[in-house]
Amino acid sequence: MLDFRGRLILMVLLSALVAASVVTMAVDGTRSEVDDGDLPWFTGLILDVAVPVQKVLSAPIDFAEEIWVNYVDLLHVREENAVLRARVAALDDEKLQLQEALVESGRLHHIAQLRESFEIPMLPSALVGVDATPWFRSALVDRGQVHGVRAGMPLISEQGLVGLVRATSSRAARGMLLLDRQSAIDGSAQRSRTRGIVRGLGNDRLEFSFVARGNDVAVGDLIMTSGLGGVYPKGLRIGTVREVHEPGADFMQTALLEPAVDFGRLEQVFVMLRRGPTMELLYGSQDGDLASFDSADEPSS
Amino acid sequence: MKPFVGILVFGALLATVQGVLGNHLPQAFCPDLGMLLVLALGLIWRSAAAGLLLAVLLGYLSDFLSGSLMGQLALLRILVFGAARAVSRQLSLLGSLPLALFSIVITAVHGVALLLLTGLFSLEVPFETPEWMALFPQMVLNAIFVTPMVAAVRFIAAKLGDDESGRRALPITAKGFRP
Repeated sequence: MLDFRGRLILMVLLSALVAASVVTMAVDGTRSEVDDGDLPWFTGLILDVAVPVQKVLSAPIDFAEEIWVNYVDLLHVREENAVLRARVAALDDEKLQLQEALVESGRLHHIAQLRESFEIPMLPSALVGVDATPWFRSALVDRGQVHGVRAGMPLISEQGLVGLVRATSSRAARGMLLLDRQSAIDGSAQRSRTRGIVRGLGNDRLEFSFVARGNDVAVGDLIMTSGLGGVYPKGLRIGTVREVHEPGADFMQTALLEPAVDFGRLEQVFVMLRRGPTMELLYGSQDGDLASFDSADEPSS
Repeated sequence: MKPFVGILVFGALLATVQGVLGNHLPQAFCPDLGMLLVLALGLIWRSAAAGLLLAVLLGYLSDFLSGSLMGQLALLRILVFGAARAVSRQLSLLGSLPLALFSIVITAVHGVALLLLTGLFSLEVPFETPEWMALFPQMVLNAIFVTPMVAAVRFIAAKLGDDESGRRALPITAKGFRP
């Protein structure tokens, strides 16, 4: 049993630790809006160590998966399928970009602008691990500050939008996936141009909230980034509508989305090495960043 | 000191293993190893002050590798450690079944607290979303993994030193007893 002095020390320690946790939480809650997202060296060191360790731990699983996929699961068919899928994805992207441009203005120079907006340098990066708790949806990637990665840069895959870089160390970065419940993206339905907010639900689905009156969202509609939030460039695929909820008496209506990206099989992502204007305002200036996103965000004159 | 560092290293390893597991399995179907480790500490660690410090450090470690706010998991680890320590002083949690039942309750409380804290900072009420459903597989998985985790912590503590290891002495008083 603890004596009085022991109890007192314990209570002081408990109070100090609770206070420290609450203070760091409050500071972190505001930090993401004003700081540059670069982690301090001691925190960054943990990320820098964790990433190679996770790579090593993943190696046997990846190896086993590779054997299974390559040698058991119909080797040639799969390879051919992969080539065809890549081709379809490329054509699909091309078609989407053209549709985007035509739906919006129909003018050739806007198509040129759109093309320019997609010419953002991309950094291939391996997704080495996901969140250390089952409650958040974040991921660790093996590229960091030395590779030019900064907080606020979008993460994408060939299938669509993956998330946003939230913190960086020298050789690693932590990104928030769009599935995370803290994620909110300005999106629009490609067919009807209905705008709304896409939120993560913390599971494998997304929620698209839009104004019920006068808008039209149907099952099968493709939801894409609108570019209006100033965080993501326009025209990136977010997901497909799988369920539309009845609005009832509410002003807002919601739809359930299936993400365009198969997060269960995500291994490779690309970091878009430019930040949008909103991210620039929040995280600080970076030369040349504004121009590329402005071309996508500004309405055509 | 050695058991303290040993548990800290073990916690770091578990955090990275959890990240790898989540990359290959559905994340809802991965046990919360970090939380289970702190729960095990609350049950068997002798020194309350050292255990509390360890729980907070492990919480911060998880915060570094997670999308949570810095300090969020550290705060919740204090809750888990305190609850485990308080309950283990009143009830016997020696068997696998009591341990499993206790971990189910703690998982639920931890999950609710975490979602409420997240909701508080994102200014949203998380009661309407289906993410609450993620609690149920977590409860089952944590109930399965809690016994091996307690055994692992006990093993590390015993292997690295006797001063902090072993089960805490039960505060049994024998008033009026005369041999």
